[in-house]
Amino acid sequence: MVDNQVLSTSHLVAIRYLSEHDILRILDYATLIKQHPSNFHDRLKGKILALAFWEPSTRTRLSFEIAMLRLGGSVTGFSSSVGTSLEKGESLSDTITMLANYADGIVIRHPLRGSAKLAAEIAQKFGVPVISGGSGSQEHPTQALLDIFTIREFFGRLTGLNIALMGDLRYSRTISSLLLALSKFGRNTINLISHPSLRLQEELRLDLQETNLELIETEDLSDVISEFDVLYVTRLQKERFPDPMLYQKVKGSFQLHPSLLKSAKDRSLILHPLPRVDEIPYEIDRFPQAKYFIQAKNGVYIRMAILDHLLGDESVE
Amino acid sequence: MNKKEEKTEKELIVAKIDNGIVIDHITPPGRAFYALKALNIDENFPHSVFVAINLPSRKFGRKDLLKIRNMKREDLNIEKLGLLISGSNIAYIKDYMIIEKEKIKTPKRISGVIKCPGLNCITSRHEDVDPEFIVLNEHQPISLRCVYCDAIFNVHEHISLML
Repeated sequence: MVDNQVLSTSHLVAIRYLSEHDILRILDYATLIKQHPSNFHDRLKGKILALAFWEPSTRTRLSFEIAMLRLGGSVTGFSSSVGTSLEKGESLSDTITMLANYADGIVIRHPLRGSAKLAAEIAQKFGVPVISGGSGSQEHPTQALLDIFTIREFFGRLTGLNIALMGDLRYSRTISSLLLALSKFGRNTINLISHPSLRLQEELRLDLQETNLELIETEDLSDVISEFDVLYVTRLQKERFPDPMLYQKVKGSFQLHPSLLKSAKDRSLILHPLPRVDEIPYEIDRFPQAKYFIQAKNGVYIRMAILDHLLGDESVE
Repeated sequence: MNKKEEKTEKELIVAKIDNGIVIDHITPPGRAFYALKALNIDENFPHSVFVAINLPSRKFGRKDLLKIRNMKREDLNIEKLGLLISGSNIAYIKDYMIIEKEKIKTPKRISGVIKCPGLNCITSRHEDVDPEFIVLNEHQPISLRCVYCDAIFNVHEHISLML
């Protein structure tokens, strides 16, 4: 029997509020779901999940929707302000208050930092759990959980790994959450590969100071190409560069070239939160290390585990 | 400082007040201006206020001092003062006598006294939320971390955000 009511929190708004124990429970539960998905088909029967997406999304929104459907529940919500009262300027506070009156759980994606925490505080009054699907450049906790689920599935551990993160490390919420998640475990070496203007946020650096992560900065992937166990690539966003010319100039430095990958370890992983633009060309998909679509698929199991933990009523046999 | 200058400075110290508060040992000198802002003392304040900046102090070298007539304990937001002039002492005066003394301490957590400077923080929008911060260090210069957006900033560089 697996106890599904063991998280120390009734919401999931940021990795920083989860303990190592919480994370492992979610990963273990997702493993069980992945092994026997049919055992979970009616876990959330009769429950309704509201998806409140102020920002565009493909994978996060659809995988939450599919996860809920696979657990026997239903889904409602919005995926842009078009056709809703958001166009009339309705606040997040009022929107969440309304959804907490309608639904059994809420997934929120919003462009502002702190949005998921505020939503959780509001929905708490109604006993309705809130799950973050991304809060500005701050955190994307369910992405980090599916990332480390994929890493653990492949290596069988979350310590003693050499992990290279490449691309936009400053504004990428997936990078923030992934580093915070890895920091809950043992020693790992983290190679940070980015343009100087896109290095880690100072706030995040402060959070990581007292952890077991060994952070090494570089601007060149070839420095670490033969060493990494995991290469995690993120998309460079043109709008993050103060000068469009600078973007054009540096973007090539943070693209993965098939020729470079020949020096990589056979037993290593290339991950990407997706969507990609041109930082990982299609040729890379044929390399055995390319696992980003398996990573995306794991998102469904992780989100099923989270939904069951937060919206489910009882333990499962 | 020669003896003549010291004597002249001592003579500048203002007389006792009958009722109100005295905030002493405000350091570093100049912080009294912040305290006036935190106390909402401006041109519309109806009572006498004595402001002394850069007074000689045996313990601190230089300090500021405030005497404010007819201000009471309940008029003060001690937490707000704790962000700006922690370490200072407040004496509550009634009929020329000190009836209570209090040392201003830095709070550990603070809510609703300063806005978050984070441009992308949810608390900077029209939402049902009070800005809330964790105080990162007890001593000046005090820095805060927004519990919503995680932004870290120095209080003295954002005095204009005081509510």
